[in-house]
Amino acid sequence: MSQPQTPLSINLVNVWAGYRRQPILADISLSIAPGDFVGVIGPNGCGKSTLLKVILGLVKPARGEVTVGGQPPDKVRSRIGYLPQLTQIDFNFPLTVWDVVLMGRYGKLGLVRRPSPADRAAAQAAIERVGLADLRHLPIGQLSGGQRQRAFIARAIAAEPDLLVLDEPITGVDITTQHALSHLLEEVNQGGITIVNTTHDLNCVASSFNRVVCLNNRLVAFGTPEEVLTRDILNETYGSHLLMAAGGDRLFPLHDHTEAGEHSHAVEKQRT
Amino acid sequence: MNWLTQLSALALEPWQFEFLQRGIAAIILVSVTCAAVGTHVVLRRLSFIGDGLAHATFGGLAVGFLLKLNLFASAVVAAVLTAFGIGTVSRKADISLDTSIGILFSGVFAGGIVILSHDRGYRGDLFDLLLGNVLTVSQLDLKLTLVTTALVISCLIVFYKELLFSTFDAAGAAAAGIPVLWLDFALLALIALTVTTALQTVGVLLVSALLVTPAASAMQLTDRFGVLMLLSAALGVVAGLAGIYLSYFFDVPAGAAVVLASTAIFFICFLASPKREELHVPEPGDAAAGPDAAGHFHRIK
Repeated sequence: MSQPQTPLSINLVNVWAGYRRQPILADISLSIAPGDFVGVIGPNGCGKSTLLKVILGLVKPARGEVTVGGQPPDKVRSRIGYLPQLTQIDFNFPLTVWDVVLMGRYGKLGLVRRPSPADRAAAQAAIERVGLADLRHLPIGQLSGGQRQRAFIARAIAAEPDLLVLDEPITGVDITTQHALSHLLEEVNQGGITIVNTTHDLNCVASSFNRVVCLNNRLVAFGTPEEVLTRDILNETYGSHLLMAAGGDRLFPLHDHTEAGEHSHAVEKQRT
Repeated sequence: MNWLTQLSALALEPWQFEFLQRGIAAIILVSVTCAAVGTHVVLRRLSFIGDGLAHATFGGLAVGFLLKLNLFASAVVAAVLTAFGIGTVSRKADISLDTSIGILFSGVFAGGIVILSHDRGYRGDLFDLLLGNVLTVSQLDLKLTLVTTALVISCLIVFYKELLFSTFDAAGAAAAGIPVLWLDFALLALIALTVTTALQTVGVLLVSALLVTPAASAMQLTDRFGVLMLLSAALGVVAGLAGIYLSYFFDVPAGAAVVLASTAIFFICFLASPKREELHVPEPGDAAAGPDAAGHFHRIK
């Protein structure tokens, strides 16, 4: 990245969001410092994606205030990189890896303007950073799960952002790929970019992030992994569906990717 | 060389009549426009919208008839309003665009039927609009078609990046500051305008094929969006021309002939598609299938 990075802070004050009588986010207040690497955890439907969209300015809070770098999110859009949930993406779309990464620059370009050499250089740097340079001409449909995540992370980085907002950047890939992606994100974070990402992988939360948001429509806890990853807080976040094992001075959830209902079933079995 | 001159004479034959020239020009313009917009339609999985908006114009035509307004203008207004209605209902009522199209177009179409049921006169020109008629394309119609084509194509070029981004990934585009909502409605308006313009030549019942088939054919052949759009437009023109000749020499309705040509092109592209090539699994002892000296495998036909 050519320019010096000035990571963005995020501030939410009593934020409410949702539809009708069903609040998806209820009275959320939290303060994310510049350069933080924040993991957002919680069960399905707990408001993780909505929280990210509030930070991006895509969902306007019904009540409360959001600022990013002290300004409304709309004002700093060009400084935010976003990775949407990839389940929303049509991978049969006729685009190559390079096309997708270059899209990261579209927000900064005006109408009619074609990407400049500087835009191409930024996209190239991003694609090299995630290790996809050799596959840049491949149609996105031919990528593996991990490569897809990498391509979209590259698109987010290509915007040369000061804040990355990532919706499940390491979901649905094998363990080796998870580690590689976590490592990549740690590097990006250390380069001076605030990162907020949602995840289902609680082990990763413990090892990579310096702040954890536990969400269950309301804010259950916000703090360092050591503070937050306790039996009580996790049970409150997930509604007592987790089995946990002590490892050293920390708790590790025995966690798989099944739905909450199956979890509770498994827990019942263990208990009897 | 005699057969060549004969062939070219044959090829030029339809062009010698002025009314046919207009029809041919109109059908080619309409094919290009539909095919170009159609790439976004197909990629957004909105294939049903061509049919829907074409039917919706019927409501506008009925009102136009009743109030003796300009029919093209009434049809365009009905299509654009229905398109906006479809977008709004889908967004606000939180139902899929497909369902929203289904609700609104049939409502507007039914409105047209009710209005016309009170008038028992012969509706020859209305019948033309159901099936299309290249022979009745007037000078004014052609000019309108030209204006629509120019407008639609320039919008597709000016908003190329923005439309591509929001068609591919609406949430990502919105996060990047691209006015996705605006573009959605602009695209719906362009589709409405395109469909209405195409009614004259291919008619309500077939217009959706012009929108969807060339783009779907081109998708069989390419993995690049830019190429897809150009190829789709080119296939649209080929189908348009082929349809006109079929129509002229076999004396069949031009709209139907164009659509048939387009369908045939789709199946040719489908069969020729490199995307369906099977993996060649090397057999043990199949020397030709092994890696060469440099360690590369070669695809064997």
